[in-house]
Parts: sequence; structure tokens; C-alpha cells
Amino acid sequence: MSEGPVEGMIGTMGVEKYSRRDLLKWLALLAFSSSGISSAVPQTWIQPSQRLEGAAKPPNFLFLLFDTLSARHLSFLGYPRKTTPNLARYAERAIVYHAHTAAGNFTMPATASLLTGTYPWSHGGYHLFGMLREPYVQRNLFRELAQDYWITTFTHNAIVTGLFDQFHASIDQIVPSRDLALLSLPVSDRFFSHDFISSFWGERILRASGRELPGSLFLSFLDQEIRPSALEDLKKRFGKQYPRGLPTNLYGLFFRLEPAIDWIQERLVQLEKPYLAYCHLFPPHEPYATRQDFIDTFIDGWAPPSKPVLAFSQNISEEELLKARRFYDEYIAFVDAEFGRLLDGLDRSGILEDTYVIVTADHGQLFERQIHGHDTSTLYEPLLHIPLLILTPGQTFRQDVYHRTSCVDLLPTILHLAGKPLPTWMEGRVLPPFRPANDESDRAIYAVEAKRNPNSAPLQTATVVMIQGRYKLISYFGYERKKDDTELYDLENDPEEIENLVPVKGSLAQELKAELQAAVDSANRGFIEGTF
Amino acid sequence: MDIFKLRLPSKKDYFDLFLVVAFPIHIWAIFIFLKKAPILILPLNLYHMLGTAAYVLVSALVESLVVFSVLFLLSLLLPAQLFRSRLLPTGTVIILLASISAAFIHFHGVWRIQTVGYSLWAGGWVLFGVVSSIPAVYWIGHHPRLQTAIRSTAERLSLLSQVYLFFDGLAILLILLRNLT
Repeated sequence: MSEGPVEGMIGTMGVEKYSRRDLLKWLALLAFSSSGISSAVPQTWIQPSQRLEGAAKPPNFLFLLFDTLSARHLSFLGYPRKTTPNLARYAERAIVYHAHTAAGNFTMPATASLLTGTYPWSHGGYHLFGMLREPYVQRNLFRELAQDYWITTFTHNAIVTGLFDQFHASIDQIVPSRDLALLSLPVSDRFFSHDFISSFWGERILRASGRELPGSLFLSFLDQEIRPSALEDLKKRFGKQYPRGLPTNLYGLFFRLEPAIDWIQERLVQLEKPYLAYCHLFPPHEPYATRQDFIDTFIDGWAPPSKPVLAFSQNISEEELLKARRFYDEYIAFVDAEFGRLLDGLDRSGILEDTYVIVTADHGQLFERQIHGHDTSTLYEPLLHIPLLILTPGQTFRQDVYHRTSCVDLLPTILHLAGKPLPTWMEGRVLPPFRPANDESDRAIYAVEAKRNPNSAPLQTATVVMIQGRYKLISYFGYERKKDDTELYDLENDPEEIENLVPVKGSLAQELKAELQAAVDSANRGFIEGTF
Repeated sequence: MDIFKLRLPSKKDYFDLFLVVAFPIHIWAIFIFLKKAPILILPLNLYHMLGTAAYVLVSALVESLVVFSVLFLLSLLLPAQLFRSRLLPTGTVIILLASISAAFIHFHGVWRIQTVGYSLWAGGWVLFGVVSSIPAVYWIGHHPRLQTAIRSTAERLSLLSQVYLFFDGLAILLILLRNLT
């Protein structure tokens, strides 16, 4: 019996031919699509290690990570403002994850989790420019692929530069941020690139800014003179193109996104194969310096539902939040346009035919409950819900995944796709649809915010999230100005996290909290056993 | 060469002046480092904290050399009467007044002074430094006992500076170690 279009679709994925039984199974799975567990195209378990058999070379990987890109602001995932027409275009030929979750609410914990396949309570990257715990410096994506892959990395984000510094022994080429910048004021990465973290902190102490005292008594005056004049010069050159200011990483790097996009396009075709290119681009992180052609795109009077103020309010007015949200959305539209330009270029050059393109973010951004940004101790969904698209080589159709997934799952997935064994220390697991069919068990997903907890101590002051099935438990503990507290949400019926269910589902909250506490205790065991 | 020897103060005077210059610069740098140390304790381990301290100390050493070279140039350019015979006391007073002015200028942002703008505040303290240096230099020139008192103060400061220089040396070694291994 001919299997028609289904065979054609699967055929493009390179999976072995399917029988009539499989077709019936897909049709059955299609029936679940309305209940949110299936997809436009039937869910199939792709086994790349099989599909790679006979392939001449392992696949290439391109990571495109956009900093602070909340899935809750992307039109291709349901946001009412049309922020992402280009992501939508490429989603039509990608695996689209609808419930992908960051492991932290800012770059350090979230990116370290992505790169190590472990949660922040294991790797210990809780702080802005911190160190990972020693064992995890040796346990990361780059090290696992270093033997077989050419590895190149680029980032605008100084925190990620700190991570690259810790992993540098396994990276073939770390392209310095300043190479693709208009102006780079820091000197630590220039002169002490192999000792970035300490030299960065040293420089930060010496130069300071704003209301901080500089550690340099006299030379800091020269610095204060040079900085404004250099910026003034840039303003003259690019002021019209970027009326809201030039994109900056907030640590003295001023850049445009376009050269980074051009560089990725040009560089990939030259790279030795197989390669892993990890590009962590700073936009749409604030300041929301969108390009002139996207200014005022979303003056539409739209406002999200109002949400209760429960913890860590920054007392930001609704009006200010709406304005910041609009600026953020307009910045996303610009990022999306550049994403489209990049993918079109990669498509033309044939890169998409032999490369897995992984598009994701480190964490999201919050514009609600009187809080703006991600410098907060809360872990609401706009902060944790991040996009994930995987374009498999030569894929021509869309596949939606509604399972709850975590950023810690990316490392095992990549190793699986590269045909590598999975180390036991990883806390993630292979993503669907690549996951073996016998690995269906439900599991909890976690996120941790512990800026106020020392890296070298057990987790005592933190906000920890556990998502188990449809329920999300948020636990705050150890804070000086806030008593220990718990919130519980039903993400299926209340995805906006408006109704805290603790008063009505007390016993469920207790049960989940006990489970969460057991996970925290288990994570803290490393200190008792001396493995950290 | 003899002209230079006549014009230039002794090497010991220069070295003592360098130590005096290094004193406020190191004190300030260490004060700021200790002030910010609690932020570092959270993310860094001891080795990286020592590394950060090493960068701060070495920068203070470089800054001391830069500021000293300005005074050195002044000693070459200004009339010999002004500097050669009393390099150490004059230089000490100038550097201490300049340090006090600089510190107060930096505190503008920290104290959140709203009533006086930064330019006016900074300009005021620069003026204080310059205006107070002129009579100080004059008095030193005419009061040998004042010169002796300042010289003995400078020598005491120099002792502390030598301790800082010792740690600067260790800091250089640590930075080399961290960057070359």
C-alpha cells in the first residue's frame, strides 16, 4: 500500500520507511493534537544514531542563542503582536517546542545549565560573573564534542565570555566580542583572555561607573573623559539608524547585530566539518535599542492581563511596564528580521542541508507584577518560558512538541545526535522526538534563582521552581526580607499564573513541596559528601 | 651628564617620592577592593579572589608609576630651586592634597549630592588642590622645620609603601602564573 505524503514527509527526515501500522499509530496520535500533546505532523521517535549509520560524517551543529528572548513575546508561539514573522517562516520546517523551560532567570545559571546539562544547584553558577564548581568545568558540551568537532564560539555577552574562559581548553576558536563590535571599552579580555573572570572583576573594581567608587584614584578621571567622547562619536555615526541608542552589553561593548549575522553566514561555510558553532547574541536584552525601521511598530494600545503582585515588587507603574514591553517587542521584531536574513543566507549556501540549527534563548523577561527585567528573585513563566526550534538537516515540514522540556536537555540531545554516549552526570535527557521510545516516564523540571547564595555553600537562600505535569510550584526560602513562601499554579488552565492555588490545593502543594525539598536536599548532598 | 646630576635630585629622594606617591594610590585601591569584597565572596573561590586582588594591586602600581612620572617631569622642567632641594616634602604635600581632592571628587556620586552638579563639585576640589598647594609649597620653602616634619612623615609612609610594593611583586607573579598556565 502506498503511504503517500506521509512517507514523503518522513522520507525527508531520513528515517526508515514506515508501515501501515505506523500510519495508523500516527493517525491515532493526531487525535491527541487538540489535547496538547501532539503536533501538526505525527509525533515519531527519530533515532538519529540509526539515521547516521552510513553517513560519511557526523552532523554539524549551529547554536543561535538570543539573550533574554521570552517565548511569551513571540507571535509564532501565540503572542498577539506580530513580532516574529521570520521565526514563523522557519518554524514551518523545524521542530517547534512549545513548553521549553530555562533553568534560571539570567544568563549565568541558564547558559551554564544549557552547556553542562545540569541544573544550577549542581554547577553552582548562581552569580553574574561567577565560577562553576570545579567538576562542571570539565563537564560541558564543548568538552564532550572536542575530540571529533571543530568548535567555535562567539558572544556579545560578557557573562558568557566568562563561561567560555572556563571551558576554553575544549574550544578551538573563541572569537572575541570586540572583533564584531563598534566600540569595546574593557581591556581585561584583550590582555588577559585566559584569566577573564579575575581580570574582569579587577577592571570592574578599578573603573567602576555610576554611583560606584572607582578603585583607581587618578587614572579613572581619564577613563571618565574618554568614555563619553567615544560614545558621542558613535552617536553621530549611528544615531539616525538607532534612535534609541546603540545596542550595548552593559559592560562597555557597543555593537550592531548585523555584522555578527554577516560573520556567522560567512564563517560557517569556511569551517572545517564537522563543526559546532555556538553563537550567543545579546539582543533583545535591554537596553531595547531597536533599529529605526522597527520603531513604533506596535503602538496598538494592546495590554496583557493584569496580574497580582505577590513578591519582590520593584514598584514599577503599569504605564512604564507597557512602554518597556512595547520597546522590547519592537526590538524582538528587529532581531527576528536579522534572524530571517541569517537563515535565508544559510539556506542559500546549503548549510541547512547538513547542519542542525538550534534556535533558543537563555532566559526570558518580565513586564508584570510591578517588575521589569530579569534581575529579580521571581521565576514566573515569562522569565522561564523560552523558545526552542531545531531545524534538522534538510527538514521541510513543521513538527510541534508540547511536552515540557528543559534547557538541560539540549546537551544530551546533541550528544545523542552526534552518536556519542551520554554521561551519567547529566540531569537532562534526550528531547523528543529524538528520545528513545522507551524513555517516556514523566519527570519534574526545575529552575533555580540563587544570586544571594554563595557558590561554595549548600542552597539556603533561593527561589526554586518545580514543574511536575500541569502544576508549577514556586518555593522562596532563606530570604532576609521575605518569609519562606510557596506558590502553586496550574499551567494548563492558568498559563498566566494568575491564581495561586496554595489556599485551595494545600495538600497537593505540601506533597509537591516535599518532593522539591527532597530534590534540594539531594543537590546539597554534594557538600556533605565533599564532591563540590 | 654633570648638568643632569646637578639638576636632578638624588635617586634616594626620587625613590622616596615614588613610595609616597604609591601610598595613597594603594590605600585607595585596597579600600575600594575591601569595600567590594563581599560581592566577590559569593561567586568566586579564594584563588580567583586573590587573582582579582592581584589585578587591583598591579594596576595601583602602574598608576603610581604614571603619577610619579608626572612629578619626575615637573622636577625636570620646574626651576631647580623649587624642586631639587626639597623634592620630597614638596612632592609629598602636592600628592597628599591631590589625593584628598580626587577622593572627594569620587564621593560626589556616592553621596548623591543633588545640590551641586558634578562639574562644579569636581572643579571646586581641583581648585582646592591647586590653591592649597601654592601656599603649602611656599611655606615649606621658608620653614626648614616644616620640611623636616614632612620628610619624617614621608619616610614613615614609605615604610608602609614598601610593604605594598612587596605585595605588588607577588601580585605580578600571580598574574603571570594565571595567564601562562
